[in-house]
Amino acid sequence: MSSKPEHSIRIEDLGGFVQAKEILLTASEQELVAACQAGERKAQKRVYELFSGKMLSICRRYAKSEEQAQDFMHDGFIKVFLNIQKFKGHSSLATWITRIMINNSISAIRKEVRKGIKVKLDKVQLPDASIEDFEVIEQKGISAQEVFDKITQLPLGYRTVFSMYVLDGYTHREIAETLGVSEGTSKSQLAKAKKMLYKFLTQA
Amino acid sequence: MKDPLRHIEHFIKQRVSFLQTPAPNDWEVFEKKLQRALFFRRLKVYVSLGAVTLLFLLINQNLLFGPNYQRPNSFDGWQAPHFKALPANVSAKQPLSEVSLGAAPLPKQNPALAQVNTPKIKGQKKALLSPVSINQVKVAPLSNLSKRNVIAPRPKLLPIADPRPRATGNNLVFTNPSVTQELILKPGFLESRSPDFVSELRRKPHTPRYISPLQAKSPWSYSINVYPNFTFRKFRVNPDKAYLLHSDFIDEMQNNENRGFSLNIGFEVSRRVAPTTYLNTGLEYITNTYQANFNFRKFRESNIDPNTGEILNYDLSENPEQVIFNDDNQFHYLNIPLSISYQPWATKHLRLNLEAGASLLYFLNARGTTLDYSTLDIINLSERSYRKFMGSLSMKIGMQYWVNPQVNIGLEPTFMYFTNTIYTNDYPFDVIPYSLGLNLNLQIKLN
Repeated sequence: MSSKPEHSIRIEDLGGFVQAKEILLTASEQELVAACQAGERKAQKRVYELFSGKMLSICRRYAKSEEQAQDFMHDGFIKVFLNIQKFKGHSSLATWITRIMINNSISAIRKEVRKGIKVKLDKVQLPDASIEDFEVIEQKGISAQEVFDKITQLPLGYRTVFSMYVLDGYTHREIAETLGVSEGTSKSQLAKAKKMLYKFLTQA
Repeated sequence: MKDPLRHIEHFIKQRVSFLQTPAPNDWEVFEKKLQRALFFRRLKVYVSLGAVTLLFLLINQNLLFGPNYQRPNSFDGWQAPHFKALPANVSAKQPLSEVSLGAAPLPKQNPALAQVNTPKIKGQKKALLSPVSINQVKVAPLSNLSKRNVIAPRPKLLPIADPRPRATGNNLVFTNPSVTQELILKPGFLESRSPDFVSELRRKPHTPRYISPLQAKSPWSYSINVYPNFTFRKFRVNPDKAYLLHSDFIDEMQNNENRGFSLNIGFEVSRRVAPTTYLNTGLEYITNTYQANFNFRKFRESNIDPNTGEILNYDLSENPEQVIFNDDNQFHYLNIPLSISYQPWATKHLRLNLEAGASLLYFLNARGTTLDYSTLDIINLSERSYRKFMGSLSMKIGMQYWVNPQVNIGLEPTFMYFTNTIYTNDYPFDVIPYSLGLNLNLQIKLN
């Protein structure tokens, strides 16, 4: 008869004795967060330097231009520092900032959708894909940066749906609600985005 | 057999996860933005607190300062001499000298016919009127004041224009020169008056509204207004004509056209219609400017039916064209506004102004470059046709500061909504301009 060893402790059993922050954050992250919460400019600079590169690449996926991507990132970091008091450490700092960046970028898109911008990317004639071509793509050894550049070359609507679904894990339903389109439209746009990316990668 | 499109999804996700992007190294730029955001966050808190306090002061002036609070130069708190209401149990034929007023009977050594409430002039709590003794006034039976016993017909009564008194310094001034304090107390005077006159005396006197030096007192006033404002506009597709529109046009216009800054100049005629209410009209020169900073990839070309103008389909460009241009798009109008403004609160130097109205705009011209709605080619704004007349609704709320009798400086958040589009019905889209801004208003009075 097997039983659980007595020394095993589940996280939820710890209750109020151990804060979530202590579990999920490293000591250096904790110090950094505490300093940012105290409004220390040096700590804010450190956080910015640590995460701005990754966050800029996230914002680039949703922005129309490099300038807009930087604006998205700056707006996102402003939200991070204005709301860091609310950060309870239930996730890592990087995950929390990433979520803010994605939400901020999507919120900007949602505002545009409210202004009447609809994602209309129909009527484009694209070549059919074949398995042989894809094997060629794999053999080419295309770098991560090249792949990312191809994503940023997609028209804004395709890029938005592709990024939300493939890279940021949104469902078609969530995408449809965000962009003010139907789920079917979201699916068809994703398919077209993938087709266009396929075309770009075969030409690379 | 593998689906290449599903496979490519996994392939890209995997590759992008390895992406290492260098940090942009622009902390100084970001730091300025962060400082500005922190400043505006604090400002928002202070402004909210200030607005709540101001609102509280406006609503609860009496609550805060008490019922006797008196604004500068005002007549608030003044209570005219009046006769206290007689108790219900007093007989109509009972002489007034035997009547007790209120709960406490009148002392014998001071049996006043009437207790005269004294004026509360600023800096003086008690007025200087002496109580009137019974010896000085020959008291008539109350029955003479009773309505049913009034024998004198109305035509014989002396005309009283407005017997209610005003306060000037420490003295009572009756607006009707024939009615004086002494006359009222004169034996037999009240008997010769109608009951209406007595009830008039009992009424609380009319207190004229406080008019600050900032508020125009003359019936007509003329001024020159100069104010900058911020403008933006909203594009809306006409669903019946969407087939004429390039699918990327609205997206590109919304994404690349920014709000603009304008300077409006106007001549205003103001007619005072109530103590602090004004009817305003005039003529304004309005410029709506939008900054067009286009930078986008034109990745498809529209195929247009030459007969109907309908966009049939698109060809994907082999070499997508990057469209880049910067320009200021300006729309000039003459505006004839008609508004009503109400100034519910004012001090010697500050006043609150609430204004609502409508205006008729006459389109003068348009300057700048933009995109053609069917081909996305760059075109001149003057090539398009525009509606000549437009209507607008406007709302203002703000404060004005009195510099001197001729100059006021105003801070007025103003919202202007145009009721119709500048483009004619031929276009497949509507453009609704908005003007929203914190107007820094310099008003120069001409009279």
